[in-house]
Amino acid sequence: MSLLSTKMNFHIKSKPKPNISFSRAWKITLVVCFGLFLSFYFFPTLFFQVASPVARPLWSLRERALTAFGVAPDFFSSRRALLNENISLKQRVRELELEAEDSSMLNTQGALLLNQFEVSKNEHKTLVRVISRPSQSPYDILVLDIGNGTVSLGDMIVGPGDVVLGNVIAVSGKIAKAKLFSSPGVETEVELAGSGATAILKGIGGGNMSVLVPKSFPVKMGDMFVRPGSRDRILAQVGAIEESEADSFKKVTLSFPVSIFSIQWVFVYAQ
Amino acid sequence: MLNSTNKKRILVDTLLLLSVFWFPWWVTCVFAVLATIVLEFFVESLIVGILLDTLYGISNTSFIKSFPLTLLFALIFLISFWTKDHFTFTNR
Repeated sequence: MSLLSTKMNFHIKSKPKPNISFSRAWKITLVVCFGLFLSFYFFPTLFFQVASPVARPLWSLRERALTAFGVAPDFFSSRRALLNENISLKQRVRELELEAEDSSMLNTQGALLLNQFEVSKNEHKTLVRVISRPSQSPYDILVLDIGNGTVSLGDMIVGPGDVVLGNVIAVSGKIAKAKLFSSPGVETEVELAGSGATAILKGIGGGNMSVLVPKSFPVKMGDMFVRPGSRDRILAQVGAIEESEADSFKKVTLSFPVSIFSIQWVFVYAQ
Repeated sequence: MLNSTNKKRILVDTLLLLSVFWFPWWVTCVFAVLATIVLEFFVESLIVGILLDTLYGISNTSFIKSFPLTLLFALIFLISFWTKDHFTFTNR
């Protein structure tokens, strides 16, 4: 009884109310999203045009700082990624040593043929600096400092070793954005070098692509795929082949023969 | 005169803005999410999302695919705001 009659005087601490209510945050978010939605349909390049002049000096500063301190652009790669890259590069060196003799002969023949057809004379190319690359960007995108060069939408990006990498998708002032063929969802028609068999590669990100081909498709590890219609430039190299006896298809995973994480200069070919 | 909260906020904003251009995207994302959780009404995370999607994004045919990080940050912003509004975290 005495317990029931006892008064319980707790000092209830009330949580201080924030100045800004949740409904206000909700309204601001809705306004921002609606603004983005409108700009997406009516002015799709507006934000890129506004942001790129501000971004260019900051990207350039970063590149200069990395160069000055002798740090590779892919500074933030994990130790495991570097180890894997080291192993794959050693394998690649061994393969290249074997291929070197064959390719030198083929190059000579190719150069002779090109001179005959005068293909290279019709191509207009510009050397541009890469100021942002994958690992910094969430998608497989290269940001290019085009300076006073003329670059337009759809132009082809060619990296070291004459490897075709992607196309220009946006140009604003002195900045251009190129989408790599390895960007998730990008489909590219390719040809298996030497055989003429065609396939459609699908970008899966991180400089990788994949393709599902019939079991009879004549592909093996290390084979090169070229892009038809671009002087048959190399696009990707086979890195892995997955097949099972029960399946009538095999999954081929490919990657660019050059590292897109440390690429510093590319050529832009006018289309 | 700026008080310490405002100074802290300006510092975080500057670092976050620079990280968009200087650091990998995931570093910026982690930094932005932490700032949204710790700081009050961190609407700047939406601006960071817009910058990341605009500068590094792929132009897509659909709105959601064109601004995934912005929409993600908007969601985190609302969730964090609602959480902070309804719960109190104290040290024991």
